[in-house]
Amino acid sequence: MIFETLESLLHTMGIAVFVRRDDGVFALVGRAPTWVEQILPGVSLDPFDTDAMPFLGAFFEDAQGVWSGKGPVTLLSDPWTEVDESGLEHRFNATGVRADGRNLLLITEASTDVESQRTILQAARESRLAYDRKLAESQLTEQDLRESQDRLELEVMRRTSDLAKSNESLRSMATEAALVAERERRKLALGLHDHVGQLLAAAKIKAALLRGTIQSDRATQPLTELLDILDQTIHATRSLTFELSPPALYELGLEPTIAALLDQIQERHALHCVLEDDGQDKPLSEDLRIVLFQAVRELLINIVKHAQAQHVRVIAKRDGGHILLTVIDDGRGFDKDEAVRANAGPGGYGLFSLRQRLSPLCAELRISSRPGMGTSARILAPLDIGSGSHPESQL
Amino acid sequence: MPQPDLQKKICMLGAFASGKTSLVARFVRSIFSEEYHSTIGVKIDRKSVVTPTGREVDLMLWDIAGEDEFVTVKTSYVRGSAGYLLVVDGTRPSTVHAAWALRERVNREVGEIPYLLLLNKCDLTDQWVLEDSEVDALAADALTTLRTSAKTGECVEEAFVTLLEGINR
Repeated sequence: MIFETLESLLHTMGIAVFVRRDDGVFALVGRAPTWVEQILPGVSLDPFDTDAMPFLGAFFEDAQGVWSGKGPVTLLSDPWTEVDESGLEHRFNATGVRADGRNLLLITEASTDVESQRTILQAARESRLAYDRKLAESQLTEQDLRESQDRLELEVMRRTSDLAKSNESLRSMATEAALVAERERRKLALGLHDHVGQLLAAAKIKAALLRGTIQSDRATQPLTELLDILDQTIHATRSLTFELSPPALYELGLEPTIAALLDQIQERHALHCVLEDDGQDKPLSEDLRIVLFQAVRELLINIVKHAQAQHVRVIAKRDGGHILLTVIDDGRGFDKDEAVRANAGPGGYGLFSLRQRLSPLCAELRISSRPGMGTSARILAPLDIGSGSHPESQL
Repeated sequence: MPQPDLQKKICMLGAFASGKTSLVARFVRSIFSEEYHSTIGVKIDRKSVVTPTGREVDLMLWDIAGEDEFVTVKTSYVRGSAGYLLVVDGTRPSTVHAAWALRERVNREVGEIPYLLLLNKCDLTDQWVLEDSEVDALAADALTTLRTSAKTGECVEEAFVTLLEGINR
């Protein structure tokens, strides 16, 4: 009677009970619940063809502990869902039980508890999903920002490169312009020297001859004055020729021309000037020789104008494949940082322009100075010996 | 009608909400729902397919609940499977990490099984935030990697067929 009641109860509750025999085969106990007909039509229940519910295979691995008596007496499986041929879903739980020395397998349609568990899990996961999405959104924003930054940096690099090219082009143009101007001055200087100078010399000779033939004091006096004027004119023409383009630069080279320039400055400005030449051969291309002379001359003019110096030393020495020209004065000096901030300093723009002209010829100018300690300007330039290495590291 | 030559168990593995259930639904029933419905335990579906070589294969698809801090996938469910689809949600980087952890666990506890890496939700590529290096590392041992969308159906059928071909190779 009790057995029949229990059997009816299990049937009503939709629980299929299988007993596990010693050979591991399962057999249905009592009546099969109604879902068995729907889900397992035609499947043998005694012995139970467990392959019809493949999830059981995985569960049996876990339930072995129960049935071998080495684990807990019951074990509940995760819920699993079987989809029938019409697409309807049926959710089950399996329970392994050991009772009264018998091993049992209970299969039940999952209860509403499982659905409420699912609802809780669903809510937790939806909340987590919302968080993940926000995180992903912020990552996307970050990525966009990074890409914008990359694009910006590329644009800056491109424009910097364009600017560098423009600067290089400007420097070349400045050098070329200086050289063109120098060539024009050279033409004028040659004209003065070769033509005007010759004519003046001839005029002087003739005036001197004429004075020798005249006995009258009245006539000699104006001729003597004329000869003085001619002397002054010849001297002025020579000075002008030197200032325009010293012929010595082309005929004798850089160092003798610098020496002549120093003599001229010493004579005109009461500045004690010295050239120290190491006497070594320093072959230079004509363009570089011109630009270096202009550079030394501009540095000396700066000293005369701004430095309030008493002494100037120009040192010309060979340094490997380079010429090193150093112009040192004992003037008032200046604060380089302050000069940079003020974008000025003694001859500020002139020095900038000088650097621009030197750079295309691989020459560099560096200035060191301190207030009250004079100024030292160093120019390093490649000699014309085919090495062509850049002087940067040696300054 | 030809009888199936054989039956293959295929598992769907991946983080929660990566689209495993949707991929199976698209593959088996050609349907898609925008609603997220979290899977509890395991859902077993079946579909017969005919391979390019003409063999009919019964696929038993184990859609295993996604892993997260609340649920840990039992690797015993993967035992006996011929291969698995490792699903990553392209819009959530955390799903790559979950997929990586799952693959490592399967390798360790079950052994190396052929798998395909699916970068799912490719209909939302404008929202993708995956790190290429991480995906590449995950894809290194996969048979191949496919970009799929359960919503549009893109590469869904191809994913299952490719895995099957890879298994049979």
